[in-house]
Amino acid sequence: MHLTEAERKVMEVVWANGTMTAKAIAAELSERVQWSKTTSYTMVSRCVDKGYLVRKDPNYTCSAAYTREEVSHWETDELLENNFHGSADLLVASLVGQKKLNLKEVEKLYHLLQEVEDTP
Amino acid sequence: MMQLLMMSVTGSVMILVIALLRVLLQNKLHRSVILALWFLAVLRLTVPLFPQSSASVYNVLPQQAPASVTVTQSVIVMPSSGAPVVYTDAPALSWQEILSILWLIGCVACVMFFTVVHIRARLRYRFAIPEEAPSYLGKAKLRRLEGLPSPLVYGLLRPTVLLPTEFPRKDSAEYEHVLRHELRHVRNGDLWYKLLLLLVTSLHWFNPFVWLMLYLASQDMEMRCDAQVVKELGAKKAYAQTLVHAEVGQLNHLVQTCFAFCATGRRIRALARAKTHLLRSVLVCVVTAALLLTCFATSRNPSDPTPIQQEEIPSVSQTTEPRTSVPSRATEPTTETTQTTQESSSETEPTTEPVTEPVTEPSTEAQPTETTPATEVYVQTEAQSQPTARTASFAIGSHEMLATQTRRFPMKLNFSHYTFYTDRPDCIDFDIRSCGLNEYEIIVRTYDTGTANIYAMDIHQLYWVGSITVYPSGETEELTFAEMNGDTPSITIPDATVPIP
Repeated sequence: MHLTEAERKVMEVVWANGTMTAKAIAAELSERVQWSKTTSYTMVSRCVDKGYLVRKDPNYTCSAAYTREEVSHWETDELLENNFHGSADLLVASLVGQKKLNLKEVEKLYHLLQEVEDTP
Repeated sequence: MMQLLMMSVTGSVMILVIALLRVLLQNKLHRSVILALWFLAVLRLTVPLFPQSSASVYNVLPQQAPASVTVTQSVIVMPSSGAPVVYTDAPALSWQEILSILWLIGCVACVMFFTVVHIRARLRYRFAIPEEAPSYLGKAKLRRLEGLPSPLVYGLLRPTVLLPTEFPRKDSAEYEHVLRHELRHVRNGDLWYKLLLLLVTSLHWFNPFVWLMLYLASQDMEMRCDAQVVKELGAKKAYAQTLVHAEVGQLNHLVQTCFAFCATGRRIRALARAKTHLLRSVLVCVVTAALLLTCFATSRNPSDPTPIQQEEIPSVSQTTEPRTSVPSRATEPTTETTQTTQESSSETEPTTEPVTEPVTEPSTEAQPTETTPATEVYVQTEAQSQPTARTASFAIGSHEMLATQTRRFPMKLNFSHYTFYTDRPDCIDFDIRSCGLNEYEIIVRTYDTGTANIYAMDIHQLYWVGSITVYPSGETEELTFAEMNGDTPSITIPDATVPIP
C-alpha cells in the first residue's frame, strides 16, 4: 500500500486536526496546496474509496483509518499506478515528436553522451 | 474552400523546403531562425492575401481550368420575345460544397480531439502539489505530480512547471537544468507558438505535411531551449546527462512541452554538433524568407490580354447602349431560392428589334413565352463566396472558338452576390474572376458573331455590365464595361440600334 503525495496531504490534514468534516478538510487543503474545492473533495472521496478515511454521514465527517505510524510501515510493493498511458496520449505524443524509448535506444543515448563535450 | 486548398498546397511546398533546409544546415543554423521560417509557413497557410509578385510560381502554373459545372443553379432562358426568365433548379450539392462540409467535419473533429486530450491532462494535473520555486523561475509556478512521465510546463496565461515526484530531485544539478529549460519555453513563447501550430494543423488536418511541420517544429522548440540553457550554464555534458536521465527515468498534453521523450537522441546530437553562427544564421533566414515570399506569393500577375488584334477600345459615352434586345427583370431572380426548373428551354436568336424597357424598380414580371425547341441551354453557376472565386460558365454545344479577350474592370461590390450571364451564350462565354482588391477580370471567349450583353444580377436588381460585338473575322469590339459600384448601377438600357454586320 502506498500513499501518493496527494493522498498524503489529505491525510496529514486529518492527522493534524483529528476527525473533521470534508468541508473543513477542503478549506485547509486550499490553504496548504492551493487546490480548488472540487479538487479537494475529489481527493477526499478518493481517500475514502481507498480506505484511508472513514466517512460518517450526515455531515460527511471523515476520520483517519490508520495512524501516521501505521502508514509509515507500509511497503511500496506495487508499481505506481501510472495514469498516463491512455492510447490517445501516446498517439498525440508521437505526433508532437515524442515517444518513449526502449532499452536499445537507451544504450544508444548513453553512447551519444560520449560525443558531447563541454564547451571550453 | 479552393483557396484553402491552394494555401495548403503552397504551404506544403514551403514546409518541404524548410524541412530540407533544416536537415542540411541544422548544425549551423540557430533554431530561432528555423522557427521563424516555420512561422512563415504558418502565415502562408493561414493568410489568404499576399503581395503579388511577377516572380510568383503561380505564373508558371497553368491557369485554372473552368470548373466543370455540376450544379445548375439557374438557367437563363431567352425566349423569342426577349424577356429572359430565370429558372432555378433544386440545388444539388456541388462537389465543392461536399468537400467543404467534409473539411469542416474533419476540422471540428481535430479541434475536439486536441481539446479533449488537453482537458484530460489538466484534470490530472489538478492534484499536483505546489513546491517552492527558485527565484529564477519568476512568475511561473512549480508543482510536483506523482506518476508524471516527464517534466513539462503548461498554462498559457499562468505558466506552471510540473515535475514528477522522483525527478529531478530538488537542489540537484538536474533540477536547475530542467527548470531553466522549461522556463525558457515560457520566455520564448513556445506555448503560444504551439497553440498556433495546433490550430493550423486543425485547419489543414487533411495535409500530412502540416502534421510534419508540427512534429519538426516541436523538436526545434526543444532544441532551442536546450541550446539556450547550455549557453546560460555552460555545462553541455551535464545537461546531456540530464536529458538521458529524464528519458530513462521513465504526454502530451499538447499545449505544453515535455522535457523528455522529444527525440532525445536528436537533441543530444544537436547539442554535440552545434556550431551555430549567429550572423550567418540571420543571413540565411532573411534570404530564405525573401525567396519563399516571392516564390510563393499568392497572386499571379494577371496575364496580359491577348486579343487577336489589338484594338483601341472605341471611346464611348457613359451611357452606351447594348445593341440587342433587353431583358426585363426576370421573375424571382434570387439564385438562392429553389424553384424547380420546369424544363430547360432554348435560347433563341435575339431579335434585332429594339425593345426598350428601362429597368428601374423591381417592377413588372416578365412573362415567359413560348420558346422554340431546345438546342442549347446556358447554364450559369453562382459565384462562390470567396474573394478569388469565379463564375464558371460554359455553353453546351461545341462551337469553334474564335478569339479570347481579357478585360479588367473595377467593381466595388462583392461580386459573389451577383450572378453573371449573357444574353448570347451562343456567341460568347466568359469567366469573371477577381484579381486583387476591387478589380475584376473578365475573360471572354467568342464563338459566333453577334453582339452579346453581359449582365449581373443580384437579388434586387439587374445590372448591365457591358457588351461585346463579335465580327465575322473574330475581331471584337467592346463597347464598354460599366463600373459597378453601389451607387450607379446601370439601369437604363437604351435602344439597340446598330444592326449586326
